[in-house]
Amino acid sequence: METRIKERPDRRRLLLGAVALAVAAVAVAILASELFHDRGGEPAMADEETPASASDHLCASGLVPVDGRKCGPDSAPVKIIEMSDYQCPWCKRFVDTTEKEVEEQYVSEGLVQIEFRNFAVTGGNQPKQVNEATLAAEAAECANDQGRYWEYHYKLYAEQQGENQGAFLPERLKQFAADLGLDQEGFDACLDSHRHYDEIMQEREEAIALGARGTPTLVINGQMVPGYLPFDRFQPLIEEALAKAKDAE
Amino acid sequence: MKNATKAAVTSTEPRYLLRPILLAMIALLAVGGMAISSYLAYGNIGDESLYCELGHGCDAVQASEYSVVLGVPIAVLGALLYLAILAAAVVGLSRSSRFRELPSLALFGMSLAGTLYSGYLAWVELYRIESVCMWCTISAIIVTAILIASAVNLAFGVERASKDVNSEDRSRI
Repeated sequence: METRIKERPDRRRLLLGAVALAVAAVAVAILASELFHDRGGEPAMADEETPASASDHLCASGLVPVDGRKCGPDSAPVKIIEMSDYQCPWCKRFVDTTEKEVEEQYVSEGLVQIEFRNFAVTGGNQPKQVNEATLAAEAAECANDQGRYWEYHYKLYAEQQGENQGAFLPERLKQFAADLGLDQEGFDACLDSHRHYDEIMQEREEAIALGARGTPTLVINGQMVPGYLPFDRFQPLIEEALAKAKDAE
Repeated sequence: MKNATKAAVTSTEPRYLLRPILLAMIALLAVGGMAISSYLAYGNIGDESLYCELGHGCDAVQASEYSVVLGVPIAVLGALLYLAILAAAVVGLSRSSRFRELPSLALFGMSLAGTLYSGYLAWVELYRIESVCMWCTISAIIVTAILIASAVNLAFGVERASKDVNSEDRSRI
């Protein structure tokens, strides 16, 4: 009995020690997370990558030839097809970092043409009235009808929040059109009529038929690249395609 | 000889089974947690899943900078924590263990740390990334279950075990 009485305070001390250690370890880990992450709160910006705003992108600047969803000259030896979804965080990361570099280093030189295709996957099978993935894609097509595709495209990525959180419901999409100074009446009528919905579903089927399983999927002169790649890993693929195109000449 | 027989009989009584049952449960949960963490770590280290898969999620949480602390993916830290929990549970289960309380205390401390940190991550998911990662949530539930089991073990299992040890000690004296 005596041994048990003696053991009690030790046990309590050990227990307190264990709790204190656990709390201290968690405090250190949380402090490290809070101090060393990018404070933007948006998905995934490594230190060496800087997020871009719409106006930073060449395709929206009027400085390179743009034809609807194609950015860059038709004569470019390398054609990149970008199958993407406006709600997809990896797509945003690609657009903000890798795509921006491609525009500046290759599209500006007439070496690459980027073509965007809708692959709206993140809305699942929700009806078109509330499917934020297809609604965003439809809205971009409505902007395309007015010849302002790329500005709206970058606006959507800039305004991206979590998936299906209300960021791309019709009211917001119409507000983006107002922010960009589009013909509001035409845009609203286009979006409300779901004029482009069937095309977007068709594009989704085409992407699946091509072998795409997720977004973003890039196709560089026929070579499929699934998923986000940082520019330093994407660039060699462009160089390879450029070299092949040169050999073929 | 008489004492040994007595110990063998008492160890099969239901109340003496609480501790091994709890520790075995913790070990099993830890194996599950390790499997999930390893899967998440694979997604984070390899670049294969950096996209929104058709019919699945986007891994927006994994795409976030919060998935790495000081260059180490959180999933790797999680896998190591579950490994340590598994080790402590196995040590606690071994009959020859002379320090019965230490593994139990370690289990409680580690699972408390895991639960608190999972709580922080859940808050980050909900309010900063605004996206919830299913496997992260399952891991949070597992580590919370381990915390509850280890608290019960600490409150009742160890108590019973130490009574058992004390009675053996006394009878030896």
